[in-house]
Amino acid sequence: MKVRVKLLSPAGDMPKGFDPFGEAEKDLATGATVADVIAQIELPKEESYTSLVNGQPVTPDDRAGHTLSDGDEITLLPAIQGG
Amino acid sequence: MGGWQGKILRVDLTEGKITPEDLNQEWAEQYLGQRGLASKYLFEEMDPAVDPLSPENKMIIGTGPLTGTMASTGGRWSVTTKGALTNAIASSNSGGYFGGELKMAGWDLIIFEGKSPTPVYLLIRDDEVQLLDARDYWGQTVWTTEDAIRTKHQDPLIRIASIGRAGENLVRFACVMNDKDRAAGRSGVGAVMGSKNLKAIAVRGTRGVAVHDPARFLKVVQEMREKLDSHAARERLARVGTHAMMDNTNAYGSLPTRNSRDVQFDGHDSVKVKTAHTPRRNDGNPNVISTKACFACSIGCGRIARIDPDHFSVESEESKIKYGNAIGGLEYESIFALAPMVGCNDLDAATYANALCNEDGMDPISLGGSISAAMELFEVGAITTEDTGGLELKFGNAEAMIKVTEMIIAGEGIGPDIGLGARRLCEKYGHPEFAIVVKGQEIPGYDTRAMQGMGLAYATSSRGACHMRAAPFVDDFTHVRPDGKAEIVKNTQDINAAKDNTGLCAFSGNAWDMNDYAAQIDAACGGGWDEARLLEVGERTYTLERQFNLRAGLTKADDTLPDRFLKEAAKSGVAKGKVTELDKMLPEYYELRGWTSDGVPTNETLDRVGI
Repeated sequence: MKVRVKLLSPAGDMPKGFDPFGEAEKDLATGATVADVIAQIELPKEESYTSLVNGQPVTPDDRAGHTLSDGDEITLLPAIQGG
Repeated sequence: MGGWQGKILRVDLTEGKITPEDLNQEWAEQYLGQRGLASKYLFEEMDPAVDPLSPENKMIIGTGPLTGTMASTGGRWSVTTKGALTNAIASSNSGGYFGGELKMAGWDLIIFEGKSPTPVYLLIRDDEVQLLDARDYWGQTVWTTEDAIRTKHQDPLIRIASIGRAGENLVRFACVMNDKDRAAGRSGVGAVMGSKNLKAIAVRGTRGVAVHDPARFLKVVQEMREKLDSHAARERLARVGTHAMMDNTNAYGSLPTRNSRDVQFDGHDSVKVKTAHTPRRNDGNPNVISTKACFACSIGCGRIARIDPDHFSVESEESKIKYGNAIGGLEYESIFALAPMVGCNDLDAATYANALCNEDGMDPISLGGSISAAMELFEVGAITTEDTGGLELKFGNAEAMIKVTEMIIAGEGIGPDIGLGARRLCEKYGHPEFAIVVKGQEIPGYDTRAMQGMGLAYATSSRGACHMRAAPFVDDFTHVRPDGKAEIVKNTQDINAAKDNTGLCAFSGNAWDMNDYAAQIDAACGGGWDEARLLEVGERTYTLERQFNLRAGLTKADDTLPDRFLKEAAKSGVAKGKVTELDKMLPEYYELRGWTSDGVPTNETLDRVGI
């Protein structure tokens, strides 16, 4: 199945597989979870990332249990502080 | 002793008298500097119940022990007074170069008292301090005033903090500006300065800042700089600035839009950070053309922008010269307030309105929140074209947004009414529910239905709605629920208060923990500073601000949120169908603080924190 991953405001260079605008399409095995997708992406370790699937939040505790479906859109955003 | 200079200036504007004094070192040990130390002076010297625009209000310029040192981001300074917008304690923090210059001139604080009979400015050259006639500068912008003072004294290195026409006209959300586009922005501290007939403070400092243990200080600031410079958040701030936040809040559904009626903006693509960095077709330039940093800063989050030469805001030759070249650019807070909040998808209009704020000293957050309230009043017919001089003041009308901004600055037409701020404006026009404010201060760029912790932070902020008094961001961007927020808000309020007293920028906190701040303060000041002592300073500062506000007449009833957040469910985003559950967070917060159920610190708490 194919899912779309959007990486918002990443720090540093864009991780492998993402276009310059922070978007990537990923081919996943049936039954893949949000945790599986995040494990494939090299993100800065000192920041925590929020995950949304089709605009709805999936908390860190729920990522391993949240099975994805074909066509899902996963948005990852760093919990930026301040502004 | 190091870090502190040990000297303050007292300026009686009524009598035109300047008196140097020794710094109260006992208070400096208890409150460090800036926000906390100035609040202590204000609390001890002034009745908090005074009218903020009366001569009885005092205005204190404060530096921290690390201001003017080589500690990374050590250029911060603040203005502490009773806020013209809020009637609460105000402590507005700014960067740029003015703070470092004041500290290097040998002064920790300046206390302004009374009101000058005619416009004046204070000139400081190390120990030489004079009050000078500013009648020629009254009615001039910040930009003109800065250039004119430097020219008059033939010294391009003078640093200046001043007010523009907004402060002179007592716009309730006027700022004190410095270095042309840095601002002590919130709560109307510029109106207080204007009420005192004080146009500017001009400083040249050549003394430097001594530290307690120079070798240890050099070592620790180098280590801290490496830690900060290699952090992911610093890299992002340098590359795309704070504007990057808008992608997050829009995706999450916490981007205040159209006076907070919506939480996601359909025009986001036109004003997002990527758009600001994408070259335009007509001139090949992007909106953001360069970056800038404040004194001693190794982050560099500041933006330099250039408005589209074909944009209507720079149509005239005069406008092209003034605003069509490199100018201070947008931060997240200014772009949120001057685009989604007013429903405008025009990046250049926001850049221009932000430039007007810099030029004449206004807080763009409160400007956007006041205009958005006026737009909602217009939509329901409470404000009409008769009031606006024919302007269709509708959400999304960027030309009208700019026109009323100019009217506020000039004090013309409906401008002075909008310049009252959203609370007073909406009360005047019969719809107080349209004011998206806390303690009279317009909200920054986080909707509290998706970010519940920020809701509690706004409600309990000592200076009204504010995103810098607490830092519940990480948990808020993870969990949409009221659970656990009280402890996060209380703890981060104390941490941020401690940081605000140091002379360092809050953004250093992305990389540094309290031990890192303590190590730098201890090397600079001596006396045994550690994490626990810093946190005590933070809690003491927050509790003192609470005491000030209670004596000013604020009560538990002021620790609330606009009905829109409490009663109207979010229409979209992660909090779709939810309201802010403040009632579930506030009692726990009071308990954690050691305050009564009415929000009053108990005697035991006051004893414990040392007040």
